[in-house]
Formats: sequence, C-alpha cells, structure tokens
Amino acid sequence: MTEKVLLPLDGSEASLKAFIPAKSIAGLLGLTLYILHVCDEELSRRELVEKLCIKPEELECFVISRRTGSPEAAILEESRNSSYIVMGTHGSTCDESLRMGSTTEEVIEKSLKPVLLIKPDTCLNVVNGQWIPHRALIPLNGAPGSAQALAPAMRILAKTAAQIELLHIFREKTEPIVEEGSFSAPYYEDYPQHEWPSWSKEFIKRFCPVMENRNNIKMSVSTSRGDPAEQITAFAEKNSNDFIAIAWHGTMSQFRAMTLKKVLSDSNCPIMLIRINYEM
Amino acid sequence: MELYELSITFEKEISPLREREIESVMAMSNGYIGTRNSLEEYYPGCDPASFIANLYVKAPGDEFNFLPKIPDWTRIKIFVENEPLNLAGREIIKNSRYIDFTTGTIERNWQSKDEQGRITTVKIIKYISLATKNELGKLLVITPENYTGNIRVITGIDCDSADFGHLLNMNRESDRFAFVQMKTKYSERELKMFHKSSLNGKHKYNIENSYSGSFEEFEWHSELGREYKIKSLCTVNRSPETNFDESMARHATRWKQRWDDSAILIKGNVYDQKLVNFATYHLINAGEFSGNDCSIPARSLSGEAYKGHVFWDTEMYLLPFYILTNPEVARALLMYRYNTLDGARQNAINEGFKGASYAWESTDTGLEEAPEAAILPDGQVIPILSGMHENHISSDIAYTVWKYWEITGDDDFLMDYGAEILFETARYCECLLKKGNDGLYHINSVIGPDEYHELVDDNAYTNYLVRNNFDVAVKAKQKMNIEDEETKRWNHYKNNIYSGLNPKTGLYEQFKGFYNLEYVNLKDYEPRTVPMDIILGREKTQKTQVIKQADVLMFMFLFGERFSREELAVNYDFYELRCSHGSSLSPSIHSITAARAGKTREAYEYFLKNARIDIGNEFGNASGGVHIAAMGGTWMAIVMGFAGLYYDENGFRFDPHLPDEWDSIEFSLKWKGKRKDIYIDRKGIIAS
Repeated sequence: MTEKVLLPLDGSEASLKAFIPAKSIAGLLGLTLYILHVCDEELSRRELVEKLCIKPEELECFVISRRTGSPEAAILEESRNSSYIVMGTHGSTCDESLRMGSTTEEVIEKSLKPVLLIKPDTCLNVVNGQWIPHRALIPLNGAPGSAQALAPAMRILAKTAAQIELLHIFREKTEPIVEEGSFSAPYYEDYPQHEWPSWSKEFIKRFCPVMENRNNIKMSVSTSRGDPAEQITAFAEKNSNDFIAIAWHGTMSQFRAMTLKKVLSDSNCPIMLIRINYEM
Repeated sequence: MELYELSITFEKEISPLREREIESVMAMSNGYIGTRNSLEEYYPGCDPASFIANLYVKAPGDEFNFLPKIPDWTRIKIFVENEPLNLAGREIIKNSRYIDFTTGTIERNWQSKDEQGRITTVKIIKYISLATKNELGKLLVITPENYTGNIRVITGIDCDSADFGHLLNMNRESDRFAFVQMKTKYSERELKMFHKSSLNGKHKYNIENSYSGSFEEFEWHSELGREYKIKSLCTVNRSPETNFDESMARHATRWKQRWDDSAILIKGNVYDQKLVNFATYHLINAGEFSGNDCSIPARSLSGEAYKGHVFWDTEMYLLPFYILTNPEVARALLMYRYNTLDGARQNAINEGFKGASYAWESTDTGLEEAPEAAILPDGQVIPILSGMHENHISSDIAYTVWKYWEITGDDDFLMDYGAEILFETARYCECLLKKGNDGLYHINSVIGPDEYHELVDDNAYTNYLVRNNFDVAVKAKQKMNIEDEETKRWNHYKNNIYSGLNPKTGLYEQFKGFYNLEYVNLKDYEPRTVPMDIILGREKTQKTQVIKQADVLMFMFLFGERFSREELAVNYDFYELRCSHGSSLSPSIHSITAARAGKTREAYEYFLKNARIDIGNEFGNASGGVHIAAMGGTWMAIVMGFAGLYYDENGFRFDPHLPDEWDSIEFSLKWKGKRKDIYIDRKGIIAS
C-alpha cells in the first residue's frame, strides 16, 4: 500500500495553513498527499478544488477526496492508512481564542498516527514553496514512552538535515520514573567532565537507536530544570526551533496534558504530537 | 569458608534500552584486560568493548590520554542450514545470562526455535583468566534438539568495534589461527590477538581474514541431540594457546582461591548477599593483574566512561579491600604510584612546587590528565579545577602506603619504594603550607572531597591528610634511621597545622567560613533525581552548606581509631544533614560512619543505597561501566562499618553493629601475611 500524508481541509484559511507542511512532508518522503474534505454538499471536482483553494499544478502526487458525515470520524478512518496527519488546529467553525477546534482535539486524542499541528499564527520556515525544518526540538523526560516522538520526527528531519536538539527536563521534588528502561539525568555526578558526556552518549543510544549509522544527522542533548512547558517554550524561542515533536498520553481533559496545552498555546512553530502507544 | 552459590541473573531475552547496562554489570576482567559482556552475535544497541589497562592513546589534538576499544574477541555467529541464529524473528524459548560465582565465569543459556520448528540449544561460557594474564576463553556448546542438519559457526576477533581513530590494523594473517595485529597510531605500541578454537567431531575448518576481523569458521553436519563444543582460547600479546580445558581449570582454581579469600557471607538476607557477591566479583576481577604499569580506572575496564582515568578512588575505596584480602594486588597498585612518581614530580614542577603532586586524573605517565573545562548539558562551560587544586590526592596515596605497611608489615616495599612516595609527597605538602598570624600552618585555595566548594581555605580533610603525610614520612625516616632537617621540619609541621576543630563542640569546620554559608534543608528538595548543584546552580551551591560527599566524615572514617563514637556522632549529625550525596563515593562512607556512630538503621539504608548504584539500576548510568569504587564501598561498609573493623600497626579490633536484617557475617582478612577468619553474630566475635 502506498504511504500517504493525510491533510484534512475544510476550506477555511486556518485549515489551509497546513497545506504547505503537508505537501512538503509528502515530497520529502515520497508519499502521496491525501487531501480530505468532509461536507454534505455535493461538489464537482472543480468546485472542490476551488473551495479548498488548492492549486493542483503545484502538486506532484495527490489524491483529493470528499466524504460526508462527521469530520472527526472521517479523518480518523482515513488516518488508519496514513503515515502522518497534518492539520490546522482551527477550522472554519472554530473560535481562534480557543486552543484548538473540537475536530482537531478528537483526532489527536484518538489517532495513534503522528499529527503535525499548524496553528493559524504558526511561523513556517518556507523556502521555494517548501517547508524545511532546520532546527528541531524533541523534549524527552527520560521515559521510553516519551521517546516514541523520535522515530516519526526523525524520518522527516533526516531528509532536511535539521539539527535535532533533545531536551531533557527535570523537576525538583519528583519521584524517579519507574517505567522499565527509563534514563533520567544522573543522580550521581562524580566528575562532571566525564559524567555528562557519558550520560549524553547513553541517552542518545537508548532513545535514538534510529541514529545507528546515521552520521549525517546532527543531534545534541541538553538539559534544563523547571516547569517542562516553560522550559520547552523558552528553549524553542532561545534556539529558534522551527519544529517541536512531543509524545503525549492522549487526553486533553481538564488537568491533563498541562505541558502540551501550554506548549501549544505559547509556541508558534509546527508541533508534531505522537500519542504514546503503551503496547509497543 | 563455604563457597556461597548465589548467582546474578538477567532473564530478559534482550532489552535494547538496558542492554548496555547489562554489558557493564556482567563485564569480565582480570585487571589487565577487561571485556563487556555483549551478546555474542551482536545487535544494534549493543556496545561491545574490550580494553587493555595500560594501553593509553592520545592523538594530536586530543585533550587527554584514554583507553581505546580494542577488537572484540567474544564474537560468535551461528548458522543453522545457512539461517543465522539470533534473537530476531525467532521464537526464543529461553535466553538468560548469569555470573557463576563458583567459577568466575559468565554463562549464557539460549534456546530458540526457527520457522521450520528446529530447536537449537546454545550455551556460551566466557572468562578472562585470573591465572594467566593474557588468556581469554570462550566455550560454545550447541545442541540440535530435534533435528539433524548443517551447522556453521564463525567465531573470532571482530575489529569493527575497535577504535580505528587511534589503532591501525596491520592486516596480518595466519592460516593456523585467527590473528589480528594492530598498533597504536601515535605511539607505535603493538597489540596482537590470537584466537584458536577446536571442535569435537568431523567438520570443515576455514579461516577468514579481512579488515573487519579474523575468524575461524567451522561447518559440520549435526546429529540429533548431540552436543557440539567449540573451545576457543584467545591470547593477547602472547603466542596462541590451545589447551582450553587446562586454561579454564587454572582460571577456576585461581578464582576459587580468590573468592575463598575475599567473599563475605551474610546469613539472614539473600538479597544483600547477592549485592555483596556482585561487588566482590568485580573487585576480584579488577585487581588480579592490575598494578605496576597501570591501575584500576574509575569504571574499571568495564566501559568507556571516565576514559580509563585513575582517581583517588583506587587508594581510598579499593585498596582497603586488596590490602586486607590480597596484599600482592595492593602492592602492585601502590607500585603503579611509585612508577608514576616522575610524572607526579613533573606535576609539582608545573605547579611551581617541589616533591611529587599526584595527578587527580592519572594514566600511564602520572602526568595530570584532568581537562581544564567541561561543558554541561545546559550549555554552561565550567572550569575543572581538580587537576590543579584537589591536592589531597598526594596525601591520600601517602596514607594508603602507610596503611599497606601497617597491615602487611612489608618492610621491603616501604624501604625500597613506599618511603620515596612518602618523602616526595611530604615535600610537596611543605609547599602548600602558609604560616598564619596564629602561629599555625594553613593551606589555602584547595578543593576537598566536597567538590561543590572550590578554592577554599583550610579544608579540614586536606589539612588532616597533610598532617598525616608528614607524620608517616617522619616515621618512615625513623625506620630508616634518618634524622635530618626534613625530619625536624616535618615533625614541626605535623603538630602545627590548623585543624578546624572546635574543642567545645567537637565539630570540625569543613573549611574556613563554612559555618557562615547558608543552610539549605535538603529535605525540601526530596524526592530528588538529580544532584543538588544542578538544582541550585553551581554558584548558588557554593554559597550554601550543601556538600557533595563525605569530607570531614571521610577523614574521621580513615582515622577511625582516633575518634570516639561520640566525637564521630557529633560530626555525623552535623554533616549528614548537609550532604546531598552528589557523588557515588558518598553513601558508603556514610554507611560506615553511621554504623560506627551506632546508627545502624541509617547505616543499613546507606549500605543499600551504595550497593545498588549499579545493580539496582535506579539511575541507569552503569552503561558506561560499573562504579568500581562503590563496590569497594560495599565491602568496606560491611567489614569496617557493620563489623566495625579498626586497625593500626599494632593490630586490629572489631566493634560490630549488625543490622537487624542480618543474623551473622563471615569473612577473612590477611594480617601480616596470615589469614584470619572472622565470624560475627549477635552473641560475639570469633576470630580464627
């Protein structure tokens, strides 16, 4: 089966913001761009293209499809056969003062596929019509689950020769992570000149096995202390990161995903969410 | 003593996340060669590595000497009907690895079923000989459980894991055995590895040589249920050997002897026994052929971390074990310090001083190899001042030289070698002294064991050890019937060095001004997973009383016979509250001092904290190699803490404080060349 990048569009300017990143990922990875529009009105092919403001001549390999019914259900169903979902946080019916629309929220909560979220105010690093991330930030808390963000992000980043910055954030008054295979900043730091290089090396080996024999990828590990959301946004701003990939637990309910909510709110670069698959 | 048969087992088929830790904690060594216990067929995520203790390299542009990875002699590939046998895509019936404490070998038992239903049982036993310095052995036993068919095995020396940046493959070969010859790129040192195997039964034999390694290939038609044994002996820098059975028997005999001399038997707690066995395994292995031209690095020869550099850890945390169980090893390790005296003299000259200043980070030359700066993962560049200012290491070595003599009575060593170390370090210490207006001598701008506070004045530990340095240097001169100007000066100094002791409170001030620093309640930061200097920041930490590791308590431990329980308890209560244990060297000393102060519960908690540093996998940083000093700390915590051993040249005594979890402990000591068997339970002590 041909792999594809799923791009749900509802005809709004906000949703169309995801067009260039979706097209670029498809181009970088040689995947088919699958544009999905969900509406109950009958539209001819031309009307559909016009409504979604697409210029087919700019696209190398794409499929455009219209479905009826619930947008969430249609997107989730189509996502099963997709490698990535790229979508706007907001659509035509969504209040931009909200974090994201209900459709997007349901998609990110229910899909196990990586979802690249594009906010209406997202700054995209576009060169010759292509979105090319140059400096990516991947926060890892030291648990293997959080490292699930790496593989789908690295697949794209390896093609753009981006600098990949792994950020390990630790907090005070925190119990050690109990997940098997966890690896957080060292409790013992006998001699910093040896401890940190050794720790960084193991951190990359443990969580980035995809790095094996990929000498072209530039990767570094940094640490910071404090509130994870604040640290992620501050790091991204300081280092001009133009892409963030985060693994998360998959629920946006009240008092959950506080870090993610704040990062979504405060960062203005594309953010890829990967729901942690506990069966891996 | 009864040989206690407890093994440490890892049952996991393969854990890509933890594989490198397992390689470290199950590493093999004899002090000369060390090898990580990697899965023989190799998988991504494995980090196979072998090191030779004195083979340091340095390329132009390198900041310091380090031990490079040499070729991997453990590699084995098995093919059944040309299909590789591995842990991927097969039904794994079992795959366990364990350390056999009865033989000092590593064993792997692996059984898998392929897509055709063929079940193959594989057993691999590996060892690095404790009997012959250059000998490494591996035994492969393959049993086709339910089939007959073609089996092919490739076994030999893999060069791909070696450090080709610093080693050059000479591409030599032989038609009689697998053979790899390398030389160091920048120092012309040679490395030769031979690998010769035999297989029972009819087979085809071939040798494959390439830039990637040299391998022996065996191929045969296997019979149902028959065991096929491939016995391989690898020799390093020595001509090939072929008698595997004799080699393995010699190793097992030596191991049994070492284990019998070194093992501690704890009755009443199987888990703690396992922790102690684990530590003893690594201590025996790290020591056997170490010394003279090399020493034991901070992560032994079990991993790349710390680059093979030798610290004070060896004298302070490992030598007590060797002095009291295998004094020949202790002597060889002290000979390493003697043999690197010229480097230490050069270090002193570089500092503008006389005498000998031992390197904080030492390699084969004795020259200082500590870098001048380090980059922290938050991007901060920090100066590393230990090389220039952690001067206590010279007096630490002098302390150990004297302790060695006290316990062994080895006058030859003291007269021929040790005394020179004592004199040269004492001469260096003279240069550190500054006479104050109070008429006392002070030592300024140093770093004590608590490395959170740099360039402090009158660090109590440093001052105490320097005082002892003068004391033992004078005693050595007296033994040699030398009385000269130095003797007079050193006698004068030793009695007039500022100590930091407040006679009213019994407290030693860790350094001048320590009491004026801000007190931080460490409990406010619990639970905590990172060091306090990372939480508070380096500058802020220096302004607080938060300490990294035992400092005052360290010298109170070293000179335990001089302090009453009350004197120790006063200082323990004060400094334990302030210690954040940012170093793996800290919990063991707190265990010992707590036990000696009669705080057995706390001592036991610190014992566990220390003993689990690698094997407990609480922090995952064993991947770069085991913390060998913590292993020494485990042994010391039992013998010097719970058993309460105190000693000086006149003899030894015990003041036991057994934890509630234990019924009794049993161990042996070597005292003036004679073995003493010690048994301690709640009723008393039996020494025989």
